[in-house]
Amino acid sequence: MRGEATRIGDGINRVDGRAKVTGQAKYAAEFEAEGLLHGWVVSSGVAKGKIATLDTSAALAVEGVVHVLTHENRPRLAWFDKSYRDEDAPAGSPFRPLYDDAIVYSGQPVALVVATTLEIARHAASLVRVTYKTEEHETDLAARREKARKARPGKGGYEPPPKPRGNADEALAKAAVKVDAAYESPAEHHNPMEMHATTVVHEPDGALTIYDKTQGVTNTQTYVSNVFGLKPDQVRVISPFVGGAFGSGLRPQYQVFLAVMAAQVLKRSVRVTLTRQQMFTFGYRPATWQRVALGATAEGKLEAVVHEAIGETSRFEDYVEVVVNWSGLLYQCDNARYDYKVAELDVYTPLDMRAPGAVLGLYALESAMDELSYALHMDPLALRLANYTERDQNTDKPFSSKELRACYAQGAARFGWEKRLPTPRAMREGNKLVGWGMATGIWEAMQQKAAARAVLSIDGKLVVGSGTSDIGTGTYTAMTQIAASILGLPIADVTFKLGDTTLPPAPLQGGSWTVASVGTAVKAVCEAVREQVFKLAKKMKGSPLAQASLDEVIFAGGEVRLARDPAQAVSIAAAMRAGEAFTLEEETSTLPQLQEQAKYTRATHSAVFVEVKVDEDLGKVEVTRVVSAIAGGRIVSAKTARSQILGAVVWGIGMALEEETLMDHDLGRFMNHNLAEYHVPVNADVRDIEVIFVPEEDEVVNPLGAKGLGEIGIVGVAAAIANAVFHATGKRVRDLPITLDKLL
Amino acid sequence: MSVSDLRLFEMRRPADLPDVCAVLAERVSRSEPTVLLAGGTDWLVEQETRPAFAKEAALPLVLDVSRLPALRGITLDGDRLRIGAAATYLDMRRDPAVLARAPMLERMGRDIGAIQIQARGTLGGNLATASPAADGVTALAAYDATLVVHSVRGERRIPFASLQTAYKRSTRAADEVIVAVEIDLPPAGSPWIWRKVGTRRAQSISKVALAGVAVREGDRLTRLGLGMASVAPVTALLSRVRTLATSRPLRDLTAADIDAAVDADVSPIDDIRSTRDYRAHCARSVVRAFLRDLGAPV
Ligand SMILES: Cc1cc2nc3c(=O)[nH]c(=O)nc-3n(C[C@H](O)[C@H](O)[C@H](O)COP(=O)(O)OP(=O)(O)OC[C@H]3O[C@@H](n4cnc5c(N)ncnc54)[C@H](O)[C@@H]3O)c2cc1C
Repeated sequence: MRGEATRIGDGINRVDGRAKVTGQAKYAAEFEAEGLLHGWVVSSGVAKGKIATLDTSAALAVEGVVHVLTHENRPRLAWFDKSYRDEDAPAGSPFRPLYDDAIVYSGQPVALVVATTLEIARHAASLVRVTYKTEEHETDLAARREKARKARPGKGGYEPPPKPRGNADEALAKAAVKVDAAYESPAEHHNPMEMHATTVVHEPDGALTIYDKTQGVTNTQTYVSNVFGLKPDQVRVISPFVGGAFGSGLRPQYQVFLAVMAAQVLKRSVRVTLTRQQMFTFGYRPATWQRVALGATAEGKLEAVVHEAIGETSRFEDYVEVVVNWSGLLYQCDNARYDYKVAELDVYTPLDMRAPGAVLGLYALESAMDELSYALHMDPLALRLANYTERDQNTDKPFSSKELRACYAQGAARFGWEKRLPTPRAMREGNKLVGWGMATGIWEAMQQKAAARAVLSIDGKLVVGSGTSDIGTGTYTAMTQIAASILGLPIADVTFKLGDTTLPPAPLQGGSWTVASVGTAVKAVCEAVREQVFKLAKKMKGSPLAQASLDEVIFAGGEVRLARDPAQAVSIAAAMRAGEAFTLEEETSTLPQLQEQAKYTRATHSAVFVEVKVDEDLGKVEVTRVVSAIAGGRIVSAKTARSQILGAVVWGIGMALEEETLMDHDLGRFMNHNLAEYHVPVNADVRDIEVIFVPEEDEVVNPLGAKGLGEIGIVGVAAAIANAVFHATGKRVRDLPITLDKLL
Repeated sequence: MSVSDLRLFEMRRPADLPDVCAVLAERVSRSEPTVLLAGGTDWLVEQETRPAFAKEAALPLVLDVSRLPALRGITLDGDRLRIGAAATYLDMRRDPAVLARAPMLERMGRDIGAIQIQARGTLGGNLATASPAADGVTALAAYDATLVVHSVRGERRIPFASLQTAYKRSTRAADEVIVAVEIDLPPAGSPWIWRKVGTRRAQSISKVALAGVAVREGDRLTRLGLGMASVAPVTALLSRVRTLATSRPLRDLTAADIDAAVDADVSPIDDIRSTRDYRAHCARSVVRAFLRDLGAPV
């Protein structure tokens, strides 16, 4: 209703929804420029070796081709690795496109054909002839596990495995009941709908305006400035809409590098878009091997936890993620040992993908907990409750809040868990086996430094901006909602701007920290504006608020009202007019309360309950019901929040049953590099999903009390499905995805 | 090579079937590549992955056959159903004669890609591409359909059993246009099966698909047509299973005999979509399920 303010927590429609469904929302490849040229990437056909010959003459002969960039004619570039290191870079030497003749992975860009149209560039690219001096490559994690080594830390946010507690191996050996198994998961690619693309506008003064698909405009700006030796103020990066990213836009990808390089060399505007196939030529979730061994007393008290993992990485960087640490936050156990290693392969460096590390670690841990529950003849949920921990044993700290018990209770109640028959293969419906499984999920609740600017005009319109992004998560909506609620304005009168380096800086959109970080800055900057308005309202001649203090008024309907007598009010417009302020402007930067936060472990939690039906003849698994109960602090925007969890659960279904990027190890190349063969769930695979947000108050995580929801929804889903499949069939599949053939 | 190179091609829309046959015959005699374009849902996809044409002269001429009256339409004449080669899956799904008399074709049509593909894709294209995973071909195999082809030499009819020779190869000559398929229909209400097994519930190329039609008199099958996708280099006709199941009363069929016949009829392989073992198991399982539904105690 116009005139009524939206409150934090309401479920409103996406403010950018109309723009998206009507095609008004512009993505990186849709921005135009005078005389725009189009680049097409030629990809390496081998996995390792050197470029022997590179013949571009046929491509150059095509009418409309302007240039073919290769390592042989590239311009001078930054020398040191540190210039190439972006905010999300792990330890090592970042990949440098077209730097020299070395081939370090299959699909690596070896040339960029630049032409007047996309079609010409694409056609000419097919005429570039490359021969290679190949060297033997290794791409199979299973074959390289023995050579895995300790990972170099260095990636932001990475926590190496904690020190051991007690003596886990000894306790395991002595334990009355134990399980010990290896779990494997394949490489997976992000595959957002929008392929990566960059449009670089070469401005008359030589400055660059870069429309990029990215999860952080500042990251792209810094990277481009460092690599190409430009001043940051010559590089403006804009990214108003992103068609999904899931982590694939955390690091500047080679298309932005190539587009900028071409623009610099040719002094022209250039666009480079990647194909769906080329979306399989950079980061991905690493193939990972894990071992989880659990020992318990006959009553189900955990005595020992061993969690080991080996993830693949490239030869040039140590991609790391937190896979093995999580049990210390979930289950009380005095003896624990964690180990995490990486194995170098001739592949590109993996990259964070939704809930990196946790999604794998919890798959193995929660599968193992399920296995233990059967070994103990104990209900899987009861086992978790019996080992519930109120302290993070890795750091020996309490939690800032942890409503996981409520997740278990509400999720189980809604699902009807108490009706579960404990034995596998006991539940049937027609000719289908029915299985019920559950798992726990966890993700960190983080906050970063962020800044925001707000301008309130005398006509009651508020514009707030921050250089964050909206990768489909609903950032526009959540921020608009926070701003509107603080100044008591209708949503329609508030505009939120993002994705522009001319806005106050914000962190990368990752780690589920955007609402916590940018939301806090937006809240703070709007409160500053509110205070200004209040001062003007008080100062007005004959103001009914003259004696009031800020906490005695409410902002609603474009007015400042006395809380105890709302008829006593001053309109914002009148206050500003009286104060001769046509606009009120504030800019604020907010930091996490590090000292206070350091006393606690801060995390989101979830409990996932799943029903599957399995056609035993064919091994077909249907996920017929999912209940996901989430403790994520305060929910800022109910509808987009629910959508985050729904989408994540769907992805969990894909991870459990369908998704894997298949490598032909002879060629060292991903084979199913398209959406016909790389399967994600279709509509018909997705049935009932119910999302419960468990109330949770937390004043430590940030002033909003919101913990972030981007990632938690996928964690635990694959384990819950695998556990349900076991319950249905009595078959424990320990390598994902659980395809039909594995169930026979 | 890619879709964006289509501008390089010459495309014609011939006036009628004799015109297509004439152009095709002439070009084939000179070994000039020619493409008959119907829905384009196979051919355009192939263009994405093929290497660049060496010379522009090597570019095929594209003849649009999608609107040729002789190739369109679905007609029922007594018990004989004729489906134009350029009729789309959606045409079939909406056709009253198909719905009433060949429901298996309608059911198969629903499993082709998604609605967009069903609105463009044709049986002619499916037959010409001749993938062993093709769903339309599998359904036609079960109906023992007859291909009606046309060339400058006139019309020729190819029974399904003598159509396929090897992986994506057939007895149809290069200058022969597929005009229609004809099916001698079983009586209305006869039992049938369409079972497509993939990784997900839609939009996936089958690991195994079974098409079946049967006519039952008492405890005997007097007609049994079967087709199976993705278990051999060509669409499998399961001839041993057909012979076995029609040779004795249904009650005398055993699971072991059926399984042995299926095993002898298929030769699946491991590939990125599935495993040999799974396909073999699945083949046995779906055939048994169909025969069970028909009354065999298996
Ligand atoms: C997203 C997607 C999903 C798909 N899903 C399925 C599926 O589930 N099951 C399945 O079986 N297939 C599927 N296909 C493949 C394809 O849609 C079918 O094979 C379809 O029947 C092809 O028909 P078309 O008219 O589009 O053929 P076109 O692409 O027009 O032609 C294919 C070939 O047939 C030749 N041809 C066409 N008509 C004639 C004729 N009258 N005489 C002689 N030659 C002819 C052409 O020259 C060409 O070589 C899918 C394709 C896509 C893109």
